[in-house]
Amino acid sequence: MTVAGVDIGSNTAKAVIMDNGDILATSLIMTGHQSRLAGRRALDLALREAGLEEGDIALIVATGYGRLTTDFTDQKVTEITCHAKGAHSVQPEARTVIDLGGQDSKVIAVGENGKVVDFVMNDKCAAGTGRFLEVMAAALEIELDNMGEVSLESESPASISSVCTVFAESEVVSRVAEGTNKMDIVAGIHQAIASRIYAMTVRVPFKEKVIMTGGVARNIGVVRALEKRLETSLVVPEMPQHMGALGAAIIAEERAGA
Amino acid sequence: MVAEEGRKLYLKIDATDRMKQLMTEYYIDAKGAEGTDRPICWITSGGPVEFLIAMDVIPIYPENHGAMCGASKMGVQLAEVAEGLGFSGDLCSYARLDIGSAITHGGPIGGLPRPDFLLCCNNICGTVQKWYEELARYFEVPMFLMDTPFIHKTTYEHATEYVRKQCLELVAFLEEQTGREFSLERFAEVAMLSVEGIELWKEVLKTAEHRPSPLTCFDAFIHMALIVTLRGTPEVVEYYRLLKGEMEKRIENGISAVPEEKHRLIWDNIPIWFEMRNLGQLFARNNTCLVADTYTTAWAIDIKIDDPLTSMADAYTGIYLNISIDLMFEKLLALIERFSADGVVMHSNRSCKPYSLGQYDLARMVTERTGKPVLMIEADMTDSRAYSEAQVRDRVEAFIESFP
Amino acid sequence: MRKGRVDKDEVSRLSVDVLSRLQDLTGDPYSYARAWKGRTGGKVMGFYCHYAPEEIIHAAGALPVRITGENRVISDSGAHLQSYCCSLARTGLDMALGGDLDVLDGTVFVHTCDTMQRLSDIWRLDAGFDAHFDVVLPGRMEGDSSREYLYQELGSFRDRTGEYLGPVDDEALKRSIGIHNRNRVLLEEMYRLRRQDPGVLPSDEVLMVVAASAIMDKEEHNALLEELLGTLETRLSGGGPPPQSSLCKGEEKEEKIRLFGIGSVMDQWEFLRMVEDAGGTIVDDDFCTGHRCAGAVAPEGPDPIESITARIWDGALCPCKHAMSRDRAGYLLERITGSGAKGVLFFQFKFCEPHAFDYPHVKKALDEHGIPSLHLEIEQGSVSIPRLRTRVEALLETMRGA
Repeated sequence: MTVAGVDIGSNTAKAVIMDNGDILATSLIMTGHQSRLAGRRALDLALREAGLEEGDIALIVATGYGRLTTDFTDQKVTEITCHAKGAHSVQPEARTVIDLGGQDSKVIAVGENGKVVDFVMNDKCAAGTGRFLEVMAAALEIELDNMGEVSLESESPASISSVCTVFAESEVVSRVAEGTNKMDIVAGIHQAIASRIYAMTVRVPFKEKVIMTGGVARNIGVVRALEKRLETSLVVPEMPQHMGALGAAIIAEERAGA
Repeated sequence: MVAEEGRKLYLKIDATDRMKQLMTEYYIDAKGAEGTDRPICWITSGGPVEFLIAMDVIPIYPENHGAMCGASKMGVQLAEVAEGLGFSGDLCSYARLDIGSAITHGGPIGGLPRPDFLLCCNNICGTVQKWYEELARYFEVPMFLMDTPFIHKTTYEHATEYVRKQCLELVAFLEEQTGREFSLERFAEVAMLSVEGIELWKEVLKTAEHRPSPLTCFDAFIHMALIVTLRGTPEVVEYYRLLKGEMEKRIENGISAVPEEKHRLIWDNIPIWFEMRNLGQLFARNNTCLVADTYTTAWAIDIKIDDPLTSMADAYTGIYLNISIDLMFEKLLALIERFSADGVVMHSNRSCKPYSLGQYDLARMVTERTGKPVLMIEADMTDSRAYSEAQVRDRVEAFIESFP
Repeated sequence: MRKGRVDKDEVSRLSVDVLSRLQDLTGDPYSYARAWKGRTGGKVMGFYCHYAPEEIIHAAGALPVRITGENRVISDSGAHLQSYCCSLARTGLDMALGGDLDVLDGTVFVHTCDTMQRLSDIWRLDAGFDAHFDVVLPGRMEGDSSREYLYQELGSFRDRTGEYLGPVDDEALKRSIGIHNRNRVLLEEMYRLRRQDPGVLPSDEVLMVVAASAIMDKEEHNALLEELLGTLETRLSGGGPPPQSSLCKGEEKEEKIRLFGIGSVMDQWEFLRMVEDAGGTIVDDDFCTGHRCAGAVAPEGPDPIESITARIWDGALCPCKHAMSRDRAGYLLERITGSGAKGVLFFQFKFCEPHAFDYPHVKKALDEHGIPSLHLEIEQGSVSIPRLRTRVEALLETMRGA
């Protein structure tokens, strides 16, 4: 039986097609302005890769903030449940999921069965999200994708005390004006994110192992800073951005089989 | 316009050593009392400490400790402990770091000695009421709330009567907690020493009326520690006599706190503890002296010897933070006039709503009535995460540049 | 897929007149006051807090009208209140400064938190209404001296307000107390019927009924309530179309998950409808615009001020008030259990200190009792339903064992 999971996030839309537990295809595209279309396109892309048609799919589960506006999916499940599910499938020993996406950051406590025990999510504040990193990269005039590598070269991270995006931005600009090394500033930004996320991890029953998902997990600097702050190593799956879609696909499989 | 560093920007006050010694002795003594039969009571900064001193109870001020943690830049790490327990990062940072310190024994002095009971007075804010409720739950100790009705326009007789009754209830509470008897004689003695200390403190602050001023509010923020924590004791009287003498000597010798004092400003709100040094130097570099503030004067309360109980009820109810914006304005105006200030710096303090909400109106009132400018600084008393140094520096310098 | 709205519409059709009238009221809360003023020529007095002694205002012939802010983008009040002040104060002041509350002749501020205390000053100095009163309630709600002070302060308010609205005699006050007591009894009855069967009325409408009670003449509200309760009772006893829960028998129409709401002002109807739509329902609450307005009546006696004192003293406790002898977590646990709720929604305003201070203590108690909960922090005017929906759905998914 073939199923699909589609995760429509604020920045990217992802799809995973599964057949009896095996991943047949995945896709990832920018969400753009019309989230409804993005989900559709992500699914089509994955279908094409798998050489399938929509009619071959037994059940489609949508997740992500765009899930509510889709009309081609059968069921809708929140990304919190899906991330827990996806993370559990790639790392059954994971008890905590740290998901840092484009607009949201969340920490999810997962039970042995892959079910959500508790979760916290950031409110309006962008600190710790992909958006925060984007703003900082722009202030520093460096490429977002290079931030991780750049920061690893730092030996004395600059102190970025503010967690508020607006304040942190002005702090970064003033550090640049003071002549502080860019790699030290970037490392400082990653530390600021790590302490923000740390504060969230203590609000759920935090247990090892910790798995990190979402786009920000691709930033090795944030991963290292978090590992230092949490005093534990993080598991970063091969496709951290696809964990939500993968979880959705697994749920689709469970429900279609039931 | 920026002064060359010909003379040190900060001139050390000699009496500081004595104060540090007194504060160290106080904390060592208090920490030593933990677990003995000497009772320890945590009290809010606006609380009627005279009752505790008169009953030989050791008063401990979490707010003073909060300031210490802030000045040692340890506020954030302690606050994060409380945030981890679910306390919102928007709550008063003193409360957050205090709860964090109670749990971890963190901070510059390894935490405060455990309280036997709590005395909370809501004349400074409603925040302390909630904060102390949490402390009472955490330490499982009794709490006495001294409830001082807020004064919007006038004081009502039934409100004074209510606070006076509570003074008697407090006496009964303390007798029960300590197993000792309250002595009105001893209380009058303490009240007298308290008045004497307060009078001397007022005189110390008054020396800043002199142009150039021998001290800045940044000095006052440090030297207020004793009037807050130990008023009612002879050591405080002795200390402020010493400090006053030194300030008078500075005036005699033509020594000013800021090397070249050109502008004089008033500070409003609690200090930004973690940034005090930098701010002091920033203003000094720009030839500006912060000559007075609304914060340290808050402890200059008026107690009458002949009827300490009633006058104390009135005095504790009428403090700066327990009165309406228009009544605060009268006091601020008086400070501006008395200290010949050119303007006001307002610290819009994220942690303190009763102090900060209303500042925008106060600022307008000041400018309308006196024509003097007001600078608003966004910050927090101990949470450096809510502070942008660069932004504040720019604003301060632009503000001072605007003076003729 | 379950469709919560269908069930709700089914229900609403029964008492459509009463409910649509209430919905109109809450949609434009001050139009009623304007019409009332035009009709009676009486004065309209605004108030923020559920502790306000409405009986005294009513007995003076004025209409007490509650202000709870609204979803709006701040313009004028930004010059008076910092961004770290709660939206309740910021949007309310914005309405006052923008002329949206021009129906008010005056305002009564009741002492609760630091923000309301300062808002009262700013309001008095800047909003430009004819009259302004402060009722400085005690912060401590235990001990004889506090009770005595409360009594004196209410008496003082009666005298002060009398100078503006006209004197309030005992007989008029007793009559007002009777009317207000009736209202509280009827509201409690509505809550009781909901606890019996939440399908009888969706939670947004329950809270709208309570909200309407705070902005309209109480006698008129009593009449509407009686009509509404009559309909609900008929339905519960099997007459008329079946209540929602029996409609939900299809395989996909499982019964809604009962939740208990904790917070201050709850005026986010769209949010409540979303919760219903997602398969949950707030079956009972401790909102100060909800159940705290129901229940506790003023014991009628010879001294009406004493009656009001007793009502405030013994009524539900706001987190702003101090009483070590009344543990909030214990109180809430009892209410939660009694309502049959299986989970809790904390719905709190950002920057609200009293509630934020209590949260960890209450949350711990819930955890110890195995009651799942979700903490939502909002600001009026920037409520993002999709973002909140994700969390509410995740809570419900967890509760269903997804």
